[in-house]
Amino acid sequence: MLQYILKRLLAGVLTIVVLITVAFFMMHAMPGGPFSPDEQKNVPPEILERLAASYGLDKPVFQQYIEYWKGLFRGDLGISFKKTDTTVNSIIATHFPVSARVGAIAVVISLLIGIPLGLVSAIHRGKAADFATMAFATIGISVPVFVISVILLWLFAQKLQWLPSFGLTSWQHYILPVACLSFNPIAYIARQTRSSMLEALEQDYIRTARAKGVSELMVVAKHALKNALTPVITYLGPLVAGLLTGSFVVERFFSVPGIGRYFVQSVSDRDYTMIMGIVIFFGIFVVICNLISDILLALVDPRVKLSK
Amino acid sequence: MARKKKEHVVLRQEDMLRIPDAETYRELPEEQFRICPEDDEAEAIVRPSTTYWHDVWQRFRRDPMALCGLVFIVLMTLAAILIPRFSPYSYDGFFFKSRNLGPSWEHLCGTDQMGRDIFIRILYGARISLTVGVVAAAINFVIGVIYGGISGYAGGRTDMIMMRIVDILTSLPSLLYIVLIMLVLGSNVGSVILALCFTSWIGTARVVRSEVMRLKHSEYVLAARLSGATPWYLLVHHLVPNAMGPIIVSTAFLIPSAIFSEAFLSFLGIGIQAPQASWGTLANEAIPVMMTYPHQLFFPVAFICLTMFSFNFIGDGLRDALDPRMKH
Repeated sequence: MLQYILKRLLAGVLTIVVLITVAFFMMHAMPGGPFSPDEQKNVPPEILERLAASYGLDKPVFQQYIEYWKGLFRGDLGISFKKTDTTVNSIIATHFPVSARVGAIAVVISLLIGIPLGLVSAIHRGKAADFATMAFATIGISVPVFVISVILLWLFAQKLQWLPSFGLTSWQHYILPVACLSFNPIAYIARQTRSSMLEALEQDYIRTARAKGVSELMVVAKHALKNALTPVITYLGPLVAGLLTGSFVVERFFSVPGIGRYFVQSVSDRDYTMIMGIVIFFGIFVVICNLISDILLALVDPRVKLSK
Repeated sequence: MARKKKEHVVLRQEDMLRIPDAETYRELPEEQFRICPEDDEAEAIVRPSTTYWHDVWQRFRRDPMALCGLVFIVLMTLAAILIPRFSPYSYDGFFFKSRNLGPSWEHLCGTDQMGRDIFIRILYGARISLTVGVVAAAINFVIGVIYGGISGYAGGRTDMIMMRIVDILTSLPSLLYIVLIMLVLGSNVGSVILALCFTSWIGTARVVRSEVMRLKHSEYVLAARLSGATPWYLLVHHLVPNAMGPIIVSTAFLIPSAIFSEAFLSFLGIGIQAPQASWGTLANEAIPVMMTYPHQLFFPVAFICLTMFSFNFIGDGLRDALDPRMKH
């Protein structure tokens, strides 16, 4: 177990190193730059050159790469090119917790609603409850998140005026962003739970359990559910990583001061240090989330061997 | 098809009931007995033999939702190809007199702030969306099959390296390369497709890899290898055709996700640019006026949702039809 985790961590570190290298050179290989004279027409070229030099951008790319690694070993992601006097570390430190809080609530809500919905529809297969749940789930996976955001914003914030439409100052402010974020995952989890639950309920050990007089509740809760949850756990890693690092659309719609908004902005600004900082941060996050979901999978399902 | 007359010993049901009774058995008239012909006609296969794909179609067409989806997509494709050719309205331009009209017989879905007919713009958007969806899915299919096939067939170290590359690609935040590609190549259909294809073949590649790994130890593969088939021949003629079911299912679900991503990018303003009409740009343009002219938002969004529904239903139907064991 410990050996497996160490091995995976090592592979994760390797992944991150390659990721940093690929992202760094890809970013620099693209034409244009944060201080390119073509994009900043109202600033004299001499000043742009000075600016570029002060951030070390006049050096060869490979030397910049080495410099960047030196900074990384000190835990320093550099200074943002566009937001002067702000370090990337501090931007991540202030905005990530906001995204993470909204995302974590969305993950919990998705699981709390998605799994029971899937269970109910599997148990009442072919009945009205199943039909209603699956209709909802199909809507959930088909309707894009920006459409959901627009509809909810229009209905609850503008038409009915029940909920605030922007900011994050009270608990009511969380309702709309969380609802938008968890809409698609709920549908996905419900579908997944339903199909794997139906498969589990057809297994021989379920018949055995029923035959020896185990109550239906225990059959479902203990025997079937545990086996039905493995696909959900596999999905959990990417889901947590995706939601906690912030959704660009939802954060923009509801003016949530999270990290997702900064990422797109920094890419179009060519804010190199900012892009790299967020890429590294996201990368580490994805690796850790996947590792945790694999370990969870092995704990739930003894057929999965970690040592492999 | 009409059943052939069979020359079996024919007994009616009431005769059958009487058989155990020795008295009545003797009473059976002799003409009810016929002698079975000896030329094995009874063994002949009466029905035409069905192929795998015929079977799949039989199962698929019994799924009403999938059929509805298919009909919707076919109708929309035809409309997107034909109607703009014969319509008096253009997707581009500025028509002062007809600004912000509601839906009417003249303008089926109303007009927008520039006085352009929204229905025609939606159909132009459908062209973009369908092109993006189908082309992206086709590219993904080709790359995924080749990459996954090589990785699964080669196994060992090659497989491990190829899978690590895939892992690294998946941990790249998608917005990073999409935005970079759009910045460099400009916003057009081609660059959107390229950006979407950058990593989305990975799902197909994983499916192909696991199928190939499962199949490559089958007896028929061994037989083919013993008769001198090269790995490439094996992949093209034996492994990939036998893995076609799961491959098609994963490709079918790629179409809606590509259409969705395109609408999403255009909605953010980094995909297709105005005046070209993509469903995402249409929705985005309608947001500022959604309180006063809700129809401008409603129709594009309705088309996005209906298309997503249709493709998802088709995907579900295909999954049930291609792999009946998975049916729930």
